[in-house]
Amino acid sequence: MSFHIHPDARRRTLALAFLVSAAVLLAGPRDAAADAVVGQPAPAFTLTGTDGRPHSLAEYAGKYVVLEWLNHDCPFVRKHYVGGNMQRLQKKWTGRDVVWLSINSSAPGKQGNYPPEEANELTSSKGAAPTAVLLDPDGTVGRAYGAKTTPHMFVVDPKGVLIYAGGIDDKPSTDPADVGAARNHVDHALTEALDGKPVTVATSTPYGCSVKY
Amino acid sequence: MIAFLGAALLSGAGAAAAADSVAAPHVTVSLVADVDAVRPGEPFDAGIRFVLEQDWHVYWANPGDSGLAPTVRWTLPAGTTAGPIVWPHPYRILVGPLANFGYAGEVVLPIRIAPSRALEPGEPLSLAARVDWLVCKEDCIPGEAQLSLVLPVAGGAATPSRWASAFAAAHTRVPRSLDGIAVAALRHDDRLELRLTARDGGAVLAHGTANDGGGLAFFPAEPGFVENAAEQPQSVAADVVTVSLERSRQRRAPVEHLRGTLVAGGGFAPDGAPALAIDVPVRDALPPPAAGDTAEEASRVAGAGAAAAGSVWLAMGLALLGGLLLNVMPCVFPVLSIKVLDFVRQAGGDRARLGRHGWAYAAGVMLSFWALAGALLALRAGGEGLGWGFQLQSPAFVVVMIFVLAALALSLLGLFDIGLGVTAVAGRVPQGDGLAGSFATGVLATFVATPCTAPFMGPALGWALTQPAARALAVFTALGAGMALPYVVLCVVPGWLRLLPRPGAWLETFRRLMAFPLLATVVWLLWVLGLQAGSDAIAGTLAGVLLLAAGLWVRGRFAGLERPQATRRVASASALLLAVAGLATALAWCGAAPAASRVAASGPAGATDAYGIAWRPYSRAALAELRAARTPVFVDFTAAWCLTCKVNEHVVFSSREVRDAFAARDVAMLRADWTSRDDEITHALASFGRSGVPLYVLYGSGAEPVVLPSVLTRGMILDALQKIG
Repeated sequence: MSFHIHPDARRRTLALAFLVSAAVLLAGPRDAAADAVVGQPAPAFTLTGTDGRPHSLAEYAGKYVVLEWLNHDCPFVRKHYVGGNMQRLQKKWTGRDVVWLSINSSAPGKQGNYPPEEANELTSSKGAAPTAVLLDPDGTVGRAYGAKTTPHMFVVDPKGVLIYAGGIDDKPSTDPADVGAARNHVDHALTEALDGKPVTVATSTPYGCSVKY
Repeated sequence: MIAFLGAALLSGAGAAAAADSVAAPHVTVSLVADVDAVRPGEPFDAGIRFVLEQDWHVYWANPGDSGLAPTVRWTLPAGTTAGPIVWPHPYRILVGPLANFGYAGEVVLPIRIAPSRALEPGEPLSLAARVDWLVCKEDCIPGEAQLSLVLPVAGGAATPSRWASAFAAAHTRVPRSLDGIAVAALRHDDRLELRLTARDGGAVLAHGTANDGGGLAFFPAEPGFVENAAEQPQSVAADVVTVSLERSRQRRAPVEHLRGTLVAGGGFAPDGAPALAIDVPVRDALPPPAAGDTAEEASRVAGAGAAAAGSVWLAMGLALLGGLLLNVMPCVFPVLSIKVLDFVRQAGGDRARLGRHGWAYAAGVMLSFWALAGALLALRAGGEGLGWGFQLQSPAFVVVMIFVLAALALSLLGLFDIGLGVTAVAGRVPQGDGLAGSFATGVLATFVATPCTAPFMGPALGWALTQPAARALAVFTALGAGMALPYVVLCVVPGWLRLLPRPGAWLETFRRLMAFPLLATVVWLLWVLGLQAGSDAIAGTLAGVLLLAAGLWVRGRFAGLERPQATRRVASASALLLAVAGLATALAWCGAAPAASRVAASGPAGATDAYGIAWRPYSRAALAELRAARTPVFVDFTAAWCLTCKVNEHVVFSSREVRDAFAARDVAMLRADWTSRDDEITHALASFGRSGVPLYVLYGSGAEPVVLPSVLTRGMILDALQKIG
């Protein structure tokens, strides 16, 4: 015995089967954006400094490098500059051959975006002592690192591996009075790393103003 | 930085709606209460009210990528205490590549105040709060204010203030857990999936789709778990909703627990609550559970073979074997009788033609497997809690199967000749070729076969359904190839054909005889339908089959080639009309069954069965409870449409020795009835790496349950029982 089905019906069945299979095959997973991740090589970059010369991460290979996301008009950044907390940290560690790069990712027209001369004037008027202040007006490096806030801190070891990413300390506030009681994660990370110890707090939640991309 | 110190604006005792307010840059902040007067010892709500300029916002408890939540520090009279801020759900505020969580426009943050019992009417209650906040558009301005509120103490009932409705609105937006919705969180590589399942056949969302009001948004309670600004792809079905979250890129440790708030634009069922509190352990998606929430989840047993090897080849090999064995499983056997008949009839003919029939049958099998697998994968990707054999969980599908099988049986009994009729209509298919018929037999065999799990097939399919689509399809291909293989071999290898008997007069008798296995299948499907949709559906379907039979008789009697063409046309049209009317009748009756009659589906799981075993319906909670009490448990994952299950149950439980062995150990008997859709059971199957029934699991006192083979014998059960002591 045998029975037939209408050829059109058969064609429709085939078409359906292939459509369904194709739809399933096409629905692949979406690629996640890459951020700087602790334990992995820090993203390479070259940015122009307010000193007018290019600075790349590669040229500081062999040294510890601190990256500080900066916006002097942000109240959270001010918290750490008003009482001299950030400046002290910069002086302490650049004095021990650590490279300190303050990166400004504010886009042109947005809060905290200053031309190089004004940026230099801010640096000197606040008594800041970074190795260099770098300008990232199109936000490329900020996005590559996943910099979310000002401040947002990163520490790179001499091999170029990220060993700390996160907040400057554990007291999210704009009150300079909180600095004293806070645990400064960057200070601890550098102290431990220079002593050859593993970094106990290698990530934390950054707090502050949004980076003005 | 501009810090504001609000002057304490004390309103006199007895004044209505006392509120202290400070106008800061871009925001006005006030301290308000939901009552105009308080009663001693009777709690009420005080709250911080923010009224924001356009585009400015304040933050939620977790501010997201930047920002800072407001804080309140109270100064209260002795004996009066304040609770924490009760946070209404926030909104997502996107700032470039970043996301913040907060409030725009106007918001009241309620705080429960428990006033002292020692308050005296006439002595006002005075509250003072130091409030700190950060208000941002893109730039941010921190603010602070000292606010106070004086409320008279009343002897009588507390009267609602003019802010009472604002407090009520805020409380509506506070996340809560909902009894009707089960929440699970699954870990997939770098993503986390929130899975909401409606309990008791309800819905997850108050409106059909989350798009009525902007979809679903998850707000993590703490930073560092998920990427705040990442898209949250979601799938919405009536009873299952999933939201996929990207794990925080900086996070290295796996996420073990997820807390937060899930907001649905159109609200959650049943009454449109906008925010659901999420507080769940996170489990590995599949194969299950590292840190399981029940003992059942903590065990991974079967499927582990295929999964551990991680090899698509192993799974394909198992599937090929499973496919081969499908041919001798009880579900497929009746349909295969048709195929056998076909072979016998054609055996005398041209060998090349027979080969073509073999391949046409194989094509029917393969395409059906692909279509079923594709549909299953697509539906599962859409968040449906479905497994292998899912189509038989739909009463409409069962009705259609009954119609097809009944028509075939009637044809075999000589009521009419399908080949003749359809060929006459289609006209183009050369008579007597019948390749389409072989193809259709393959399709039918596959659709009938799917509810049967053959040995080796369960682990392979369970593994395949957790894999990327391409691999899953490869495994299904192997399964189909296994099922079609014997026929292709039979048709292609010349020597084998001689094993078949020569066609002759006996063939007509054989053909009539073959109608009965098909009718037996119809009886079984009617029983399945009865469990799914009630006895009315059986009656409706039988009435429909009656109309179908009348139509087929008309066609067989009046549409023969010896009739004039006009007669044939009228007869064919009437036959078609009757068949369609029959199908419509059947579908109408099975759709009309009230929910109450469907409850009957759980009948076999809640009562003593024909063998005198008192089954209890399976639920995760029931299992966990029994396991906690160290009671041995046997779980029978079954479905009315699963013939393998029915055969197993008969073989095993009809034995007095087996029943005594269970009774002697006081084994609790749980039955997980998957006849109709049940996401909890689908989930439990998945935790054993399976996507279909049967599955037999025996829990002894040890941590690891024993998974028994899907084709059971008494000996296996007795051995397993022996081992658990």
